Amino acid sequence: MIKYKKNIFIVLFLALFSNVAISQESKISISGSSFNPLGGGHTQFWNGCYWSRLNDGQGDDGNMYAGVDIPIGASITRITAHFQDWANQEDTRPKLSLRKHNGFSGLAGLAEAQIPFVTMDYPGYYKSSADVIPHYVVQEDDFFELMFVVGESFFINSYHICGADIYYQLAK
Amino acid sequence: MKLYLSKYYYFILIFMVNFSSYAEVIKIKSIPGASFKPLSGAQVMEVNGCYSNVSYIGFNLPIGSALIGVKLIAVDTVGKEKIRLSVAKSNSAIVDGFQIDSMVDLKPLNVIKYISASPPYIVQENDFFTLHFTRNKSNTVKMCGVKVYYLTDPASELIFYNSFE
Repeated sequence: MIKYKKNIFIVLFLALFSNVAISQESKISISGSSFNPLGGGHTQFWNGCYWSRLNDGQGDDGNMYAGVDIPIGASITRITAHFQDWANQEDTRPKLSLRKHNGFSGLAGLAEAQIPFVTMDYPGYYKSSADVIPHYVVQEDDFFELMFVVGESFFINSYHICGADIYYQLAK
Repeated sequence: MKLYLSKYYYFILIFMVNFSSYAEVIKIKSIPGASFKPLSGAQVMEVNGCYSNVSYIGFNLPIGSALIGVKLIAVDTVGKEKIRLSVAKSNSAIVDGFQIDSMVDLKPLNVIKYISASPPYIVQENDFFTLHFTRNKSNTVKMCGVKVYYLTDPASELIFYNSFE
């Protein structure tokens, strides 16, 4: 009888943890081609990376946006942004931010990855990551979006978005 | 005491714990305002995650699932704007007659509107879906997002389709 009593705890343990303990990391990859231009910009591309030029394609570089669907219950851990840098300006480092809202309000940034500043080996392709602190668990009402913000620059055609990865963990 | 001795008890216990979380019925596809694309040359502006001057976005659903409806969240800074959200289905290039659409009277604040597909549409092979968002020419309406509701096992779950309206 004692033997069976021990067994029941082992079985309970296995039953519980086979259910929730498998928490694997997954990612959603968003291509740079998913980004749309804000402010009437014209989309340009080179080597699979994208940017936007305002004023009918004759003006400054503009910001770009993309929506993303992340599974309900997913725990978002970090993002990785893939950039192309043709300017390498220390003061205008473009950013890619992951933001969420519920359709009505509550727009909040979850993570922001910035093009690294390098003193050599550019122009080139760079990726940079940013953690979501604390990890954010996706709710039913949530909407998520990525915003590529180039900021003000004296340069044009200078920074491109090539893609983004959103990493998350799903319990089970 | 007899309970401990039964082998089947363990199996039932494992089954109960593992399958207790499988009660999900309605699936939701989340389409943020930021997924919507502008028509060529349109000037898109963004405020608080809501986008003006955007028009459409394509999406897909698993074959055999049942599209039961959509929830629209939009905002109008002026009010009295008429907008239309429709779901179009196409086989290759031919847009079919299937539509969920609804004219919505927007108040000056955010609006939330459920639109049902009746009857629910069972997704076929070669179906491509598009959400079309149209509005008057003024630029005061912003798209905040759409939730698409569908059932992956429609035969057993159709009974729920009225429940979210």
